[in-house]
Amino acid sequence: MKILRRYISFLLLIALSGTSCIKEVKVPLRFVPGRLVVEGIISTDPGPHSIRLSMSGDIGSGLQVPEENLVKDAQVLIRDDQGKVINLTHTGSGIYQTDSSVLGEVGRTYTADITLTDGKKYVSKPEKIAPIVPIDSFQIRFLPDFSPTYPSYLRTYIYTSDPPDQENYYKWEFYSYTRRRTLGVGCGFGCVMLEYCLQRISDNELQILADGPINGNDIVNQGIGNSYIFSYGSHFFDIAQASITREAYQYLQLYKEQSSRTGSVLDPLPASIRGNIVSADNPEEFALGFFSARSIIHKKVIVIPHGITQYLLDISADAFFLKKSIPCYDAYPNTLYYDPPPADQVPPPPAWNNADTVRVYWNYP
Amino acid sequence: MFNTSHLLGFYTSVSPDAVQDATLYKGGMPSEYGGRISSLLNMRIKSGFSEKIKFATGISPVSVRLMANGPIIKDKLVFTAGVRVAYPNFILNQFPGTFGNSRAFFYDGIGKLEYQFNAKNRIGITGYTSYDKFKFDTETEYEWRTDLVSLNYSSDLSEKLSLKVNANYSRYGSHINSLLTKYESKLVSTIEQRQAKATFQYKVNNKQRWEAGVDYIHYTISPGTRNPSSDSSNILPFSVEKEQGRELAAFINAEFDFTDKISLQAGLRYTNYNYLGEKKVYSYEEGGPLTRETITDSTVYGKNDNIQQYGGFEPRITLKIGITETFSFKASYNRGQQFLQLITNTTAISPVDFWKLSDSHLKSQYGDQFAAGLFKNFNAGKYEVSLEGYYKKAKNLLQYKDGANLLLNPYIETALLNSQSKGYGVEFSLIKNTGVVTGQLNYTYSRTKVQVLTAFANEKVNDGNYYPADTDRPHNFSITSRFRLGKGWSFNANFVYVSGRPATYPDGTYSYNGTIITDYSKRNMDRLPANHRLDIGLSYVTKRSPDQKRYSMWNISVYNVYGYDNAYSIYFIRYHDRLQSYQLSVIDSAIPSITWNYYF
Repeated sequence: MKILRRYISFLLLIALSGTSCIKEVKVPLRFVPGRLVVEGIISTDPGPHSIRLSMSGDIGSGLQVPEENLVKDAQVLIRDDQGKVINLTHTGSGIYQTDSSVLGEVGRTYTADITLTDGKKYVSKPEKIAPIVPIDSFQIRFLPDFSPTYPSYLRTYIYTSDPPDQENYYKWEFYSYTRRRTLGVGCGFGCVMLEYCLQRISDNELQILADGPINGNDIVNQGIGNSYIFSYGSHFFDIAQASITREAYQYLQLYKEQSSRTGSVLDPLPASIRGNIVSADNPEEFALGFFSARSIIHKKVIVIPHGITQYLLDISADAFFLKKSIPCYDAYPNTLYYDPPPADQVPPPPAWNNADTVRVYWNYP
Repeated sequence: MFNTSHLLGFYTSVSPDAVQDATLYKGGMPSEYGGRISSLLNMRIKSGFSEKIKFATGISPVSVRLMANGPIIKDKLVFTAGVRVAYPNFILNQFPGTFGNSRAFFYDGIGKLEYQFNAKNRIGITGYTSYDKFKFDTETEYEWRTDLVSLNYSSDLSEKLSLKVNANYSRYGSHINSLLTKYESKLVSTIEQRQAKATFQYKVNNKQRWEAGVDYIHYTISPGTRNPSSDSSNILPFSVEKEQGRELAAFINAEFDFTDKISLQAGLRYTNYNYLGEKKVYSYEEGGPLTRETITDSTVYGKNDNIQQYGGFEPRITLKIGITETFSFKASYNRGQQFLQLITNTTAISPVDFWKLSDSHLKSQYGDQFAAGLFKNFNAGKYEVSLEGYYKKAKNLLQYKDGANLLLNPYIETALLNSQSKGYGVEFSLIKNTGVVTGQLNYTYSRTKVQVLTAFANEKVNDGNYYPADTDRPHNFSITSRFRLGKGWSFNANFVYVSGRPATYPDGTYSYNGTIITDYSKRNMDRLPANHRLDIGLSYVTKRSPDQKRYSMWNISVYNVYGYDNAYSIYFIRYHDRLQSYQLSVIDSAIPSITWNYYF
């Protein structure tokens, strides 16, 4: 009986080791010739406005577009619906820029026109700049995080009244300057300088909204971006609300879904994201990417900490303070350099000289 | 029945013990059957009309089954009942470590009760229930349920005229349970069918038979309801509105045996379909693709209001010509209509599907099939050879749009596109019926292609050309064989080879908005590796004479002898700058099994 039981257990073990498994495999991948990728925006902001051209690569391409895939010798124009032609010149790395005096106008329709060196021509579908929708108000909240990997942050929430008589599509953008710190550089007995600097941070959250479900009502509590707290000091926010076209909204929505695929069953189906740029000879042949014309309104805000002392904050943000004796502006990317002022007085960036100030209560519970 | 197998095709959905016979209609569909453009597998459950109650039972380490059929009141009230349970679950939980996570479980039960009023009238009721649970990975668990009940009444009204009445109810539900912490939820989609059918059969003489009747089917579909399944879950409840539809058909069919060599079956079916409320139906801007942003209005229809109507004639004709005693030729033409379609996402790690009725945006489907074949018997039926070919076209099939969100989408018409398909194939079959060695060899070459039809360039799939459909399998080869070794021993070996399913692989990478995007510019232009496996089995039966009442049968078998890991799906995940491809296999090694069956 014992032998029988052992034998059956052995059989079971073999039988049940054949269960489902997931393993990494190499699959034969088709080669498809590179396609033109266009990323361009013209807006009501002061120029220059840019269009970036590159070619798509095969599956193995890394995070940076390889040099050979950047398109540096194309002829790029933007035309408006009144016959005006705006020339763009290549300024490096596949980026073509207009003159800084060029400004997009609300109500005008713009089309991008690209001719490659092999004669192939691509045009965008016309994009009309929608009227500006102002930001009613905004709120900034302090969101603590206790982990050493993620800093606490300030998050901005927008409140806007959606105009009822229009079809509106929104895109919000946000970046901020936040104070960073190092041990600084010695300047004599008991003197330290270049300890602090301002770093430009942008999470690049894609926040878009169509007014269909809410038309005419208010947009409330729309979170649009985070500014991270690495040390004690004011933050300098740029809050922007853009009005985009329906086609731009649909493109960005598809882009958002496709870039969030995780391989689970609830993913959207894989797709080529079709934009608004087609071959001039064959309007059914699409280039990748999108050319967008939009109106945009910015609000610059200085956020002053309130309800917490430098001492306390420096303890909790200790993990984000680079303990090396180098100038702050060398330690971190995208920083603003200042002539050595007194260490704890970093002046606001020039664009914030007339900005509103807001006191936000930062407190750890 | 809406699900046709257990454990993703590993087991049949109905226990073979309970089946009397099964007929597969590939072409030459009689006009009494409608509602689908595909083939029909008609299974008849064993009857209890016998001398005494018979039992059959089988036990293996992972499943157990029990079947009984026979008379309650001899020749008057008879029954058939069977239950089957597979519990790799329970056994796996007894083992620590890797086997601790349960992976699969199913059961099914079937019962039939028949009452013979008198020589001319009989009534029967059949019930079937089945349940499957399967876990693909640690985060997702699937459950499938079917419940069905069917009532059959037959009456010989006169020597030549008889009446058959059938009423049935069938419900199928598929559940996806998400087990991810903080996101525990249950997503359910169901389809219910209620049918009533009456058929009159009139036998004019031995050479002529007529049939006519009516067929009514009502569908209720719940495309998706999601609810949180724990108190700490962040998931909000959401559901997509149910939909209802109804088919009403009338049919007539005649069979003529002109000579003993030539026979003809001709039939006509007319089916009328209505898409019914209650439902909120959206209207969209003209002259552009249907998108969420181009909704112009919505109309709310009341219960059972007619929202959309479709209908048409379905002619059916089959001709059989006996060229010699053993050699015959058959040709057929069918038109079928279909008013609902299964929407499948086959590009995820595992399939998700739900049914969709034809409505004011999505037209009803119809298809035409031509088939012809040659059949020959050799050596008084010892060998049968056949060669058949078919050509099939279908219109108004649904395909998904690029980037579509199929699940829980209240605007599902914005995710679907109209398409047409064409298919053709040649099937060769060789059967050996008698002798020490018996078996079958089948090879089919077939293609099924689909073409998306849209006026809008940004909706086109594969540039508007025909491309392989999800069901396209160019090669399908199988051998089944049985060796009678004498003294109750027999050995069987089966081999199958099927081309892999078409797949959509990424074919490009580009940068936009500071991130890397994976491009999938073509659909279904790649293919999963072919599926093949060898199963062998040895069986020993203790039955020594035809009237021996009690006997047992031992089976030792090995499924997937050479342990090939057949790909179930291939999917891609991007990790920063690398795109990784993964294969999911359901079975990746040989599975031995031993079963003891007892008949009494």
